[in-house]
Amino acid sequence: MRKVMRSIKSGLLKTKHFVVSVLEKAMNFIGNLYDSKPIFAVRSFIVKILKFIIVVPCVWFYQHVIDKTVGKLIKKSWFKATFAQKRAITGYLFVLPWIIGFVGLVVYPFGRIVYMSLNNVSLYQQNYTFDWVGLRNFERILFEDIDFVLEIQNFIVRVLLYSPVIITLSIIIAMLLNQNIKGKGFFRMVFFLPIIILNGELLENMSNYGGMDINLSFFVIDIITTIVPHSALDLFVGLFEIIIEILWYCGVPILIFLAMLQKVDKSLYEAASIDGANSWSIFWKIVLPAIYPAISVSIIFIVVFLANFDGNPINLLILQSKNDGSRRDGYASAMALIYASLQIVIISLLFLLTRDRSSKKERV
Amino acid sequence: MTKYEELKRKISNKLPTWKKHLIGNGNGNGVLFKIAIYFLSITFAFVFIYPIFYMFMISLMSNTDLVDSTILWIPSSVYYQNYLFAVNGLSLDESYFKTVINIFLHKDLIITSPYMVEVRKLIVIIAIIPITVLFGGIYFENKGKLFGVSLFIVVLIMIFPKSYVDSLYVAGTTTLVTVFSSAIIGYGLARFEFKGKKLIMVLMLLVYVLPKTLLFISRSQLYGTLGIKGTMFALWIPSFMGQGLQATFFILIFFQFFKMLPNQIEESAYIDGANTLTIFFRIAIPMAVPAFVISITYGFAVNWNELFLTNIYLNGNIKTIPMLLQGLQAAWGSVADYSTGSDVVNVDFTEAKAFAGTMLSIIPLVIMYGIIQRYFIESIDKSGITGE
Repeated sequence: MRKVMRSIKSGLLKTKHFVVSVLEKAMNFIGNLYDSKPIFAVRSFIVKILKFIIVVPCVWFYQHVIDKTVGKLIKKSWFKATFAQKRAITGYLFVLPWIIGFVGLVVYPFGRIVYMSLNNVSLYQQNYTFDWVGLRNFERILFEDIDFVLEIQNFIVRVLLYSPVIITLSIIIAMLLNQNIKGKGFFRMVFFLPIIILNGELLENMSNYGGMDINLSFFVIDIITTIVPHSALDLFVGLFEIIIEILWYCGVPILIFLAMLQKVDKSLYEAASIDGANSWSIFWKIVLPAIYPAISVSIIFIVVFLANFDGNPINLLILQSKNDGSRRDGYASAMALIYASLQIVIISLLFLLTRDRSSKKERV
Repeated sequence: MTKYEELKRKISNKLPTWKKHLIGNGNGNGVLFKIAIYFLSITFAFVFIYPIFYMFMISLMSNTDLVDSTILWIPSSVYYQNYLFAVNGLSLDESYFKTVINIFLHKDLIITSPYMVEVRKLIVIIAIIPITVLFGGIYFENKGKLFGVSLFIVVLIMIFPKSYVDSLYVAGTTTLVTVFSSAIIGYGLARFEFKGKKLIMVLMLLVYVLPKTLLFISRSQLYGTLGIKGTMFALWIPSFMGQGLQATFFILIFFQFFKMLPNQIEESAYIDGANTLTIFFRIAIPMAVPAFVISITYGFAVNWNELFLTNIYLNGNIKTIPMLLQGLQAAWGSVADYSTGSDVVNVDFTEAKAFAGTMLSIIPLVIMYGIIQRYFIESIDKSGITGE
C-alpha cells in the first residue's frame, strides 16, 4: 500500500508541475501576442503579475492546506495504523457500496414511505403535495376497504400451506437426484428448469388457459366416475393444478438441499450400513440432521419468493392503488408498510419454528 | 419323485437370492428400490414437463381444433399461424441491425422506442469489445482470441431479434453489475475483520426479507428527482449498491465461497508484494468461478423474468419480453391482419396464441440453460450454497 501512496503522491506532484507549466505556457502565449519591442517590458511585467496572482496562491494552497490537512489525515490514518487496522479500513472500503446503498436506497426511502403513509399524497404537475391525515390511511385499509385484507388473508394461508409442502417435496426430489441412477443429468436438467424460466406472466398464462389442468376426455372421466365419486375426481384434478404450481416453486430449495446432501460424507453411510442400519433409519439418523440447517434457509427463501413473485395479487393491488385517483401514493405506501411488517412477522415465526436448536443445546 | 425334489431344492436354493435381488440388504440396492426410484423420478419429471408439453401442443392448434372435444393432444394439422402472430406481437421480426441503419438514416418513425435510448444501447453493446479485451486480459494471455469472441458476440447481438436483444441488454447488464458488486461486498465481508460486520449481515438479511413493493414508490420518486428514471441507470445504480434483485442471496453465496478459501494463498501473495486489489482480481475471482456461474445464471433468469420493477423504473422506454407478453392480447387487434390472412375462423384471441407467445418467450432462456446447464450443475457440487 505504501507503494500506492507513493505513486499517488508523485502523481499529485506531477499534476502540480503540469499545472504550473501549462499556466506558464499560457502566459507566454498571451505575451507573444504583444511580442514587439516597445511593449516588451510591459509584457514581462504583466506575465509576472499574472504569475503572482494565479500561480502563487495555487501552490501555497496546495503546499499549506491540502498537503497538511488531507495528506496528514491519510498519513495518520494509514501509515501509523497497525496491520489489523489497515485490514479493517480495506474491509470497509470493500463494503462501502453496500453501506451507501443501504443509507441512500433503503433508509431514506423507508423514512419517506413512513412519512407518505401518514399523508394524503397528490401529484400535480410533477410536484408532490402532502396533506397530513395521521393514521387515516391505515384505518381505511384495515377497516373500511375489503380488498387488501382479503388478499392478505389469502397470502397468509397460501404461505402457511405451501411452504411445508414445498420443503417436503424438495427434500424428496433432492434425495432422488442424489441417488445413483441413469439419466441423472436429464432429471437434474428437468428439475432445475423452473428456476430459469418461471415468471409471473408465464404462470398466469398457464393457469388462466388451463395449462396446468389434467386434460381428460369425457370417456375417461365416465370410466373413472363409475368407480370413484365425482367429488373425489374434482378434488384430485384441483390438487394436480396446485401440485404443479408448488413443484414449479421448488427449484431453488431443491438446489439448496442437493448442495447440503452432497456435503455429507459418504463414509458415514457405509459405517451405518456396516452397523446394520437400513436406509430408512439412515435417512432419519444421518441425512435429515445433516440437511436440517438448510430448512430454515429455504423457508426464508420460499416466503420471500412467494411475496415478490409477479403473480402475487398483493403487488398488483399496491401498484393499482398507487395509480388510483382516490388512493394515491399515501394509501399505497401504507399498504406496503402493513404488508412488509406482516411478512417480517411470518418469516420470523417460521424461522423460529424451524431453527436448528441442536447447536444451542451443545453450548448450554 | 427325485426330479420333483431336485426342483424343490433348486427353488429353495435360489429363493433367498431372488429375495436378495429384489429387496437388497436394506441399503437401497435391490431391484424394487431401483424401480421405485425410477418410477418416482419419472413421475416428478413428467409433472414438471407436463405444462410445457401441453402448451406446445395447444399452440399448434387452430381454433377449430381447440373447440373440438375429440382432439386433446395432437392437432389435426400443424397450424403455425399462431406463431406468426406471436412473432409480430413480441416484435421479433425486427433486428437490431435494422434499427441501427434506421438511426443513421434518421427514420425516426419506424423506431418504436426513443431515439437516444437506441443510441445509448448501441454504445453499450459496442463497448462489450474493449471491456472484454481489457478485463479479460487479466485472466487470458490471448487477447486476439478475446477480441474475436467479443466481436462475434456483438455481431450475433446485431442479428438477433430486437426484443430478445432488449431483454438481454436489460437482464444481462444488470446481472453483471449485481454479481460484480456482490463479489466485492462478499469478499469484503468474508476476508476482513472490522467492527459492525455482524450488524451489516443482519441488516442485509432484513433488506432481503423486505418485499420489493415496500420501497418502489419512494425509490421511483428519488430516481425521478435524480433524473435517472426511464434510463438503465435506474437499474444499474441500485444493483451496484448491492440492492439489486436477490443481491443478498448472491452476496451470501460469495461470502460462503470466499470464506472457504485457505488463508495461506492470500498471505503468500501479500508477501510476494501484491496489494489487496491485485489479490482480489488475480487470485480471489479466478478461484470463485463456480460462484460466478451460479449467480450469473440465476441472476440472469431473475432479471429476465422481472416485470414489476422494470415496468416502473424503465418507464416503457425499453420493452422487454415479459412486458410484451403481458401486452400480447392488446397487440392482437393491431397485428391480426398479419396472422390470419383470409382465415375467418381464427379471428379471436385464444389460448393457442397466448401459449405460442409464451413458448417463444421461454426459448432463449431454455437455449441458454441448455448451454450452461452442465457448468451450472458442476458449480452446485463445488460450492456450498447454504447461507447462514
